[in-house]
Amino acid sequence: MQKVHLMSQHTEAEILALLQDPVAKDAGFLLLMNTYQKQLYWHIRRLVVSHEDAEDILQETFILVYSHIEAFKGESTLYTWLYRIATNECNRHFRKREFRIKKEELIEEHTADMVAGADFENSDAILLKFQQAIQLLPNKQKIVFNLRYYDELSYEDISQILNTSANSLRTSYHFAFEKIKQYLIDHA
Amino acid sequence: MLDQESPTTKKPEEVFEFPKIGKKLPYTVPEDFFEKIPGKTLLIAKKRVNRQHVRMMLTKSLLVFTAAAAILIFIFLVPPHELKQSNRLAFVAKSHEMEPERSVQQKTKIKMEQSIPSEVTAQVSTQEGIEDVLQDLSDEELSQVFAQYKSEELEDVLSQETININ
Repeated sequence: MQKVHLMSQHTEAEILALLQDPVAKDAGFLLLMNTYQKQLYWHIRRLVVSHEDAEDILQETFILVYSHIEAFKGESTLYTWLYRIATNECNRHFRKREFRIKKEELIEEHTADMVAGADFENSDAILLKFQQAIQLLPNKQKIVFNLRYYDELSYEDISQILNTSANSLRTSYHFAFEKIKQYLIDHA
Repeated sequence: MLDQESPTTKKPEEVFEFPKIGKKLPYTVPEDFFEKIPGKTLLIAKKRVNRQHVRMMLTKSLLVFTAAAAILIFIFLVPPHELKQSNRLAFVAKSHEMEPERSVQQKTKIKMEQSIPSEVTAQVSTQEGIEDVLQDLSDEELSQVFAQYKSEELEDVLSQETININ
């Protein structure tokens, strides 16, 4: 993953130059998607679980980048900016879902059921339980845990994505880890 | 792996791992998904940007049209109406102020004058200058007028002399 980041950083300037050039914008967009789509898709998928929702959010993320590339001021790296947009879109999705389902207990049940749904490969029961435990976390802890555990982003990068202090993120990660561990013990 | 220290005192890059689970996910992705999604997304993005552009152009056009319509309304509809009203009022006021009380004879005279054609009134116009009259006369008429003028002058001189003698 770190290798991918280093590679991405190497081509970031090129991608940006292409995106900001009206003639080469489309080529730059395709290069951007091919570079970051898998990372972002899995980030989104881990948060929203459903493939269809993940696809919609992934598309929306890149469409926003395409139409608002001039808003990128270079204050952060391109991939943290992309993660930020994708995470915001996921939060928007959570709010819509919460509005639809309303009761918190039902949301937890719903997300846990989604993890055990039919479109997942036959894997160890422990993997499903692990994902169910993640889905039962509060949204912020869920995002922090996924970015740190799966994407292996530094707390500094996560703080740029979530606009939260690194110490607060460490605390969130710690609580998330404890909750998941307890869930796995309880459901062993 | 997980110790009891406060999370804020831990090393920043430390990642807690679940060794039995690792980073494997139980999710699947449809075949060719990552190959097809960039082109599909680009098409949608371009459509949306074009739509935004068209919407922006329409909004701008609408604003310009509204502004132009407002100006036109201001210029052509509102002021003439107000002007007509004010002109009418001024005319009514003027006619009431200026029109003097006239007798029946005077009114009849005015009516008769108004009924005379303009060519006729032009001939009797008192504002016609002596030069205009002289220009219209023939040489013969001019010599007659000159002779009459001389004789009148002579009569005046003679009458002056008789007054002096007396």
